[in-house]
Formats: sequence, structure tokens, C-alpha cells
Amino acid sequence: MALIELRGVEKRFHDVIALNDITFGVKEGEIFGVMGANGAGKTTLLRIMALIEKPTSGHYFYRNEPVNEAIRKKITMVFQQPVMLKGTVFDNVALPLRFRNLRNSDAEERVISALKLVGMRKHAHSDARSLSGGEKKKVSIARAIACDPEVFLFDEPTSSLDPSSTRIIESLMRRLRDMGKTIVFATHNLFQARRLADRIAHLHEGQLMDLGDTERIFSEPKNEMTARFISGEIF
Amino acid sequence: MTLIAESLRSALELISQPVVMEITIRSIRVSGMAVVIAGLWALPLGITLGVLEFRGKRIVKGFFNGLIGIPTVVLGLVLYLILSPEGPFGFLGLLYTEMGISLGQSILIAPIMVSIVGGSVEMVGKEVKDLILTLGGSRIDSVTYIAREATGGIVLGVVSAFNRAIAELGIALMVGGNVFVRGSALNTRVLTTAIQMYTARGEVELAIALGIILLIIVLGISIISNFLQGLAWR
Repeated sequence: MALIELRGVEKRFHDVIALNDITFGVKEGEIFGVMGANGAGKTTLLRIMALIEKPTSGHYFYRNEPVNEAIRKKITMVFQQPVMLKGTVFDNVALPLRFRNLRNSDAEERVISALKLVGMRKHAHSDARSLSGGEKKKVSIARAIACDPEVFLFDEPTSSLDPSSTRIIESLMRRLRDMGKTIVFATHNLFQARRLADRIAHLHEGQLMDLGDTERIFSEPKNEMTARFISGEIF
Repeated sequence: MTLIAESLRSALELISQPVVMEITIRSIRVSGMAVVIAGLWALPLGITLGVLEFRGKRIVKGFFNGLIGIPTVVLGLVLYLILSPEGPFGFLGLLYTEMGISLGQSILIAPIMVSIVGGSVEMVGKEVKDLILTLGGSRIDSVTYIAREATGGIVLGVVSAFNRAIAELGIALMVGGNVFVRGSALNTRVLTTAIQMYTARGEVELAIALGIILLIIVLGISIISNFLQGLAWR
């Protein structure tokens, strides 16, 4: 049974069709990659899944139920460009807990454990805006972890990061999957998609080209556009 | 040069005179009230305009941006006609009153607030709104955090509006009438109208004294606002 299911989702921005008739499901506890070139509609798709964008038409189900506002607390998104609010790293990571009315002591424990998980414990009292790009990314992941959601959506999780930070974040994503979380990530990086994803959906100009197990997609792509993307002809 | 130097020396001696202090305090009170009146609707409107995405938003923004440049004498004339005893709002008795000036200045400065606040909210609005929603916050939470992140811009909007109000002449002169009777509670003379009047009369020292005070107020408030914005960005 799919945890998340999209059926015939379409998204238009005025006359531009960003997504066209997208149908697929994401299983609970898997790492699902949304792969595609720039402008393929990956971010729009993730934003719809995060409930910050409404589809123009189509249906979105969560555990077989149409999505509603309550689902918001079960899904969180880590943006490509990390957004840090005023205050310390601790304040930023504690932010979602304010929306969950957690007791202070519980909140503090959860924030510290999330920061430890991403290796940012020692930066807890630093000004969040003064961190480097990689550190901000880690803090934004810690903030997502503090939400304790069922589903993590990562938009280009390691874009503009050095190889060492990339490795740390990828291993963190696997660790979250091992903890029973469902991960959906968008990437234009073929190697990352192959390294991380259990299953992949390939998007091209807003259309779903191919969908299946990672190894099958890379060894026997069913769609010509997917084959060309994998061979590096489209980027 | 000698005239200017002498006028400046005399002006500095005049600054502490009761009449100068009275005019200064009235100016601050009248323009402060204008900021309060405008802020009641212009701040929420600016924040809303910054947060919301809707068809025709550019036209609305363009409208308020255009109103920033409205000549104060034209606005003063329109208000004079509206508030004069024969005008549609003459029954309110606001012509030649402090409240009349405040009301007129509030109309003048509201577009400044809407534009500056709206612009600064818009800069942070989208990403903060998306973040708050994905972290499980409500739409009200997102507006609260957007306003918090845009505090620097909101302070700038309020201060710019106050400085515009206290430095304008057209409305103060045409709606206020520059009324001054020693000891009267109905006086409407403010810094700008007094400067204009004393200059016309040839009492340059007093005009310079009032001009120095006006500059000190405007520059002082700008410095304080810069400091507050520095704190707000942290």
C-alpha cells in the first residue's frame, strides 16, 4: 500500500503546464527519488507533496485518504536553499516544536538530539544566519528531524555542497530511512539518484517518463527520454 | 556670509525659547498622530500586500508607489475643500485643527508605509511562509513570523513616514492654517509653517532655529531607526 499517492496531478502557472497528469505512489519506509533535468517540475512536485502548492487538478492521497491540513504535521520539506530565521541555531531547530506545543524540557531534548544527529551540536548557540551553506543545510535537516515527521521531502539535498558534506547528508538520509521514515528527494544528479534511491520517477518537462526500481531504471529504461537522460544527452 | 553666520549664532540662542519648544512639541505630536492613524490601516495592508499573491497585485503596488509622489499642496487643497465649512466633511470641524493636519498627513504618508512595508515583507515573505507551513505552523503563524523577519523594513517604513509628515508644508499650511495665539489651545503652527512664515517676514534667525530643530528631529530619528534596524536584522 502506498503511503503517498498522486493521481492525475496537473499544475499550471497561467499558461505554463509545470506538471501534467502525474500518477505514482511512494511506499512507506522507502527512499524515493524524483529525477530530472532543471525545469522538469521536480520542485513543483515536492511543493505539492508538502502541501504548500495546490495542484490545478488531480488527487493527492495520504494513507488512502485525501490530504487535509492535519497531514501538514506528518510531512516536512527541506528546501534547496536553506531558510534561516533570526536567532541561534537552537532557536531555528526548536521552531517547529513551538507549533506542536511541546514542553520546554522535551523540546530541548529533541533539539539537542536532532543537532547531534547532523553533527551541529557545538553550533547550537551560534547565529544561524552566519553559518556556511553546508552548515545551514545541516541545520535545516535538523529542524526537519525535530518535527519528527513520517515523510521527509528533500529538494536537491546536496546541491552546492562539498563531497564530504554530501556524504554526511546522504548517509543521514539512509539513516532516517532505517529509522522507518519515508524519504522523497528531488535531484538532477544521476549518480546521487542511483546511490540513494530505492525507486525512481523520471520527470521530463512536467511529464512522468519512467517509474520503477532504481536498478531497472538505469539498466533497462522503458522510455527513450529516460534513456537519453541517463546517458547524459539531456541535462 | 556674515548674515548667515550671525543668523546661525542668534538661531542657536533662540532654540531654547518657550515659543520654539511649543512649536516643536506640536509638530512631533501632530506628525506622531498622523503615523498612528496611517499605521492602523497602512501597516496591515502593507503586510497583506507583501504576503498575498493575487492577480492585479502589480497594479495595486503601482497605485501605492504612485501616490508616494503626490504633491502636498494638491493634497492640502483637496483636503481644504473637503473640510471647509461648505465642503462635504465640513461638519466635522477639522479645518484649522491639529487633528485636521494629522488626518491629512496620514493620507500623505500611508502610501509610503504600504510600499516600504509591503516590499520588505515581500522580500522575506514567500520563503518564510513556505518554511513555516512545512514545519507544521498555521497560516497565522506564517504571517507572524514574516512580520518578525521583516521588522527592519517595518521600522524603516514607519520612520520614513514620520519624517515625511513632519517635513511637509502644504497640508500643514492649508489645513492647519498656521494659527498661533499665545497661550491658546487651538494653535496649529508647526515647524514647517513657522519656518515659511518667519522667512517671509524676514525673521531669518528664528526660521533658522526652527530649521535646525527640524533637521535634528529628522536626522535623530533616522539614526535611531538605523540602530533599531540593526537590532532587528539580528
